[in-house]
Amino acid sequence: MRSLLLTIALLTPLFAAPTQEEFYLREEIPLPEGEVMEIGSIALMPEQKVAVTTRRGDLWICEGAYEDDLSKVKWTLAHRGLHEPLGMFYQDGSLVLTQRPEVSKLTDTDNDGKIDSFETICADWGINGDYHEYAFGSPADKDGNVWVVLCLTGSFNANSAWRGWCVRVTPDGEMIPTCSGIRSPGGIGFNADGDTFYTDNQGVWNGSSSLKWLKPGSFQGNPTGNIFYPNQSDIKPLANQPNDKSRITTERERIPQFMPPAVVLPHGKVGQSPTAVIHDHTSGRFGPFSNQVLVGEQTHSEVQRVFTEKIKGVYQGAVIKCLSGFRAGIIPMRLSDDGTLFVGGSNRGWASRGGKPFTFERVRWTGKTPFEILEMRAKPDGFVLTFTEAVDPDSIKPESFSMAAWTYIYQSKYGSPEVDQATPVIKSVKVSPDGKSIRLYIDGLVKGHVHHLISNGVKSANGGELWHRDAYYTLNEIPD
Amino acid sequence: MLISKHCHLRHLALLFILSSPSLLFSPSLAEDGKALYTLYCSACHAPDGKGANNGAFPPLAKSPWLGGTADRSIQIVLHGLQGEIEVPTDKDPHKIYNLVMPPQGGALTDPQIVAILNYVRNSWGNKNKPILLNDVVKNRRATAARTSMWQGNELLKKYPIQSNTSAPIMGLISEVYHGSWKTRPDFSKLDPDATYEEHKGLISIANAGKLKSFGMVWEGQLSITKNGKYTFTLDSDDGSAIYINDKLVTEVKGLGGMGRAKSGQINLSKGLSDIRVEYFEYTGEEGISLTMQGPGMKSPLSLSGTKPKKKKARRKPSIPIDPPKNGTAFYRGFIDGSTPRAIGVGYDGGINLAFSADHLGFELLWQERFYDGGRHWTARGQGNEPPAGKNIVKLTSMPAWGTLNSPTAKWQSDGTGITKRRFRGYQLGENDRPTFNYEVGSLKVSDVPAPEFDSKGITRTITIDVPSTGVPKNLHLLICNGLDVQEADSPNTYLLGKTMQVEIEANSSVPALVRNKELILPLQLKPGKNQITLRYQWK
Repeated sequence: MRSLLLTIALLTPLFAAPTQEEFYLREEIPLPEGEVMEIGSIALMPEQKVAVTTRRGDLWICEGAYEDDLSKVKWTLAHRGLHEPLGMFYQDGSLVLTQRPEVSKLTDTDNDGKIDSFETICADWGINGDYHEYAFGSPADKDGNVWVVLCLTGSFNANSAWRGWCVRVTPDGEMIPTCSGIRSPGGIGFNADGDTFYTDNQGVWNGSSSLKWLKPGSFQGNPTGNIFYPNQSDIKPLANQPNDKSRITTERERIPQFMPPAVVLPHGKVGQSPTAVIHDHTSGRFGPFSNQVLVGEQTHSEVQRVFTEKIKGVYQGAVIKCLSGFRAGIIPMRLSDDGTLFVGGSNRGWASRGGKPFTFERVRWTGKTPFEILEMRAKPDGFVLTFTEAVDPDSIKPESFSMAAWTYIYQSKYGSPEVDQATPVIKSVKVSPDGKSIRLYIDGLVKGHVHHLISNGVKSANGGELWHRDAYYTLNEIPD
Repeated sequence: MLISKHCHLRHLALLFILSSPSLLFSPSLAEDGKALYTLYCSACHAPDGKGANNGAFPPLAKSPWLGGTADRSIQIVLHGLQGEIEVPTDKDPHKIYNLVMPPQGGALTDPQIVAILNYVRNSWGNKNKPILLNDVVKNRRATAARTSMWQGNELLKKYPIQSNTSAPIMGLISEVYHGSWKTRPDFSKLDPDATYEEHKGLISIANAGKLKSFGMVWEGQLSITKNGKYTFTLDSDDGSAIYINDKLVTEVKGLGGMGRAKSGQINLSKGLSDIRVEYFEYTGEEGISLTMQGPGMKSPLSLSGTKPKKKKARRKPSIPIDPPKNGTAFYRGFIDGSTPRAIGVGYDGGINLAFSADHLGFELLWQERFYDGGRHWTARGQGNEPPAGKNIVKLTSMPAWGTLNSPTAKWQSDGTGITKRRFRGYQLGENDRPTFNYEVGSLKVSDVPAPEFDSKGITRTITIDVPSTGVPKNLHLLICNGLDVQEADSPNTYLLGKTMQVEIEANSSVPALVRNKELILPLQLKPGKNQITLRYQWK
């Protein structure tokens, strides 16, 4: 017996690089045959039913998506003929959808499996026939409001009412303009504290894609929709219009309402098209990342993890890659109470690494905790990293880390190169008594910059390697 | 920094820079084109340059868009590209793409663009002259004021793609002779009336300048890559002959039309061979076609450009949307002829309509096929798509409910006098037939279309619920605008244009207003429920 164990130990490399399969099981959910299921939104329903809508405008209900044997899933067509829904949730027997032209409540009043009532809640924003005038909608917030982010016309102009704005739609159907400054959203949702975040894509006035906090009244950075400030009275127009070819930190000084991106998702390095925003509310059923935000990534077919903290009144934090290998470009995500992550996607019109035209998948935690950076918190002179398990103190030395920092030009041109490069120097490190946290003392932090930390030398107390070594922290504010 | 602290190092560094002038002029050397391409471009164009997702996105491998002038490539990267473009793929030599390449000029530095383009233009079978940093700098400066993406056709106008980067026939010269012959003359004894350089390297009579009574002779060189037997196939109207290395290979004799093709074979060895083609046109139709087939050639190579290039009909993808048996189909994309919030309804039986949730009216009626999703359900789905069927009638194009303070007042497109106009949705009844609900001021309206398959029409029942306190004054319903309106023989019936009539049934003593291309119904409403029935019928 002992010799057998020894043999196994010798055959199993001690420092094998961790793989996703050890921690998360990703499975494709079979789709109804012959149907083009370019999934644009997902809603979790009672009795473990899952509703999905497609970009073509179909609504399907899936049963069996939680079962171990996915070959038995049953699909029921509930309706055909919606207008590109990109947001859906279940509420009191109905599905509430954000369609391109409206927020609507869909009900199967006679319980025959087909929707027969389509109630328009709010259609107060403009559309003009441009395909890029997308509307992404959130689930209901604690007041029952649906938050809708309205993409610019063609992603460049505000040719229809409220383009470039986030609006809230109350249960009565009133539309409350909430934030200007939006360019081209990919998804919207809440963090664990109930604050609303959306993803905005690299383009004009967005040097890189990012996760942004929709603080009511704030300006999100793209001035195109600012022409609509006079059409509402709750929010004061900006004192100054932003300057072109500037930096966000500079413009924040001039424009108090300017909300910097909470977490920049560096273009190319982390992704190219962020989408869905959800958070892990499952108290550990989805692994060790409770309360953290998960962001979908269309182009790279990935799910990324975001840790945030609030410093001096603004959110900031780090993005760390998480799940990969999805079969199409991810658009919507929903995480059920039992820790099943549902992911849908399409790559029509926007390419993705996952080469299928559309997909519906689920991900469940295997129960094995990856050795990973759990949190990255800013300090006046560095960062504190908290890990999912104790580190090997011998592996924690300044040479185990490296850091680069940069920012982007804030400009009317499309995107930005990485500029103002800096190389913060990790002077010293200190391990906490429980071995789970380490303090990095760093010279040369730069306010407003993305700080890319590479933790190449870090080992767990068990000798394991990090699943992901790269963390990108957006330092909007340096704490006092 | 290091260098300033250590003077000897600074001198060393200076020496190094001075001794490496190429570094000064090519900072692109510092950028890794392949790595940058992988990072920024490969998501759409694929790591192997063949276009992501099996060519659903345009390939760069062997793409003519990258060939020739560097300016075209640089401009696409700097400012982006959108609209329809044709890019040959392995499967389809005329593949049409209609996507968007976002501008990268703001995101990439000049050295990065140089590195990426030099990688792309010289990978996967592409071969082009290297781009220099100055090429990008010059392009950026020249189009600094540009704020919009290039449209495909606009870019091609400015930077045309040479149809053949290597012309099939090199150094091709054509001579035009004026004269009338019924057999091929001895051109060596004639003097040409004009001589042209044929840059495309193709046998073409485009330069003849006449349609009859002329002859042409072309001379150039063929580049032969493999030793072996080559077949030349010649067809012409009227006669022609081909000589390779001064040997007659084949001949189309005398007068006659195309369709008399003749083939001939000749052994050729690697290298250049002389080609000479003679041709004459007497009268009537004219044309010449020449192909070459040989070792290692998958298909015959056309050496002629006379064949009027048939514009390949753009294969518009078709995804028909039809109602289910005894059911109803819905479509809420952008329907041409109505507003962005149009809702298309197709009844099984070939009667269809579009209700505008913006204007709260029935704007389009049509027969037979309901709709085609091909435009909206492929690529990004730009633009409006008209109904798929026939006998389309556009009834209105303005808000349907409004106040008229006098019979001659202009129909207000903003619905003057109506404080609130609100679409509330629809319910589906038997066979999924919809009832549309909306609010006009304080009035609640339900609007129920019902198809009439026998009489080819639609009966529309409008029920207006009026609160006791809010009977509106001068409210009118726009039934038609934009078509010639005439009273028909039967009472309360009007002809709308040439193909449609409408019969109005309302609890009203006031007749409908027939104005210039407008039919407007004054509404005499009472508290409670009021009903109006409109019977639309194709004639």
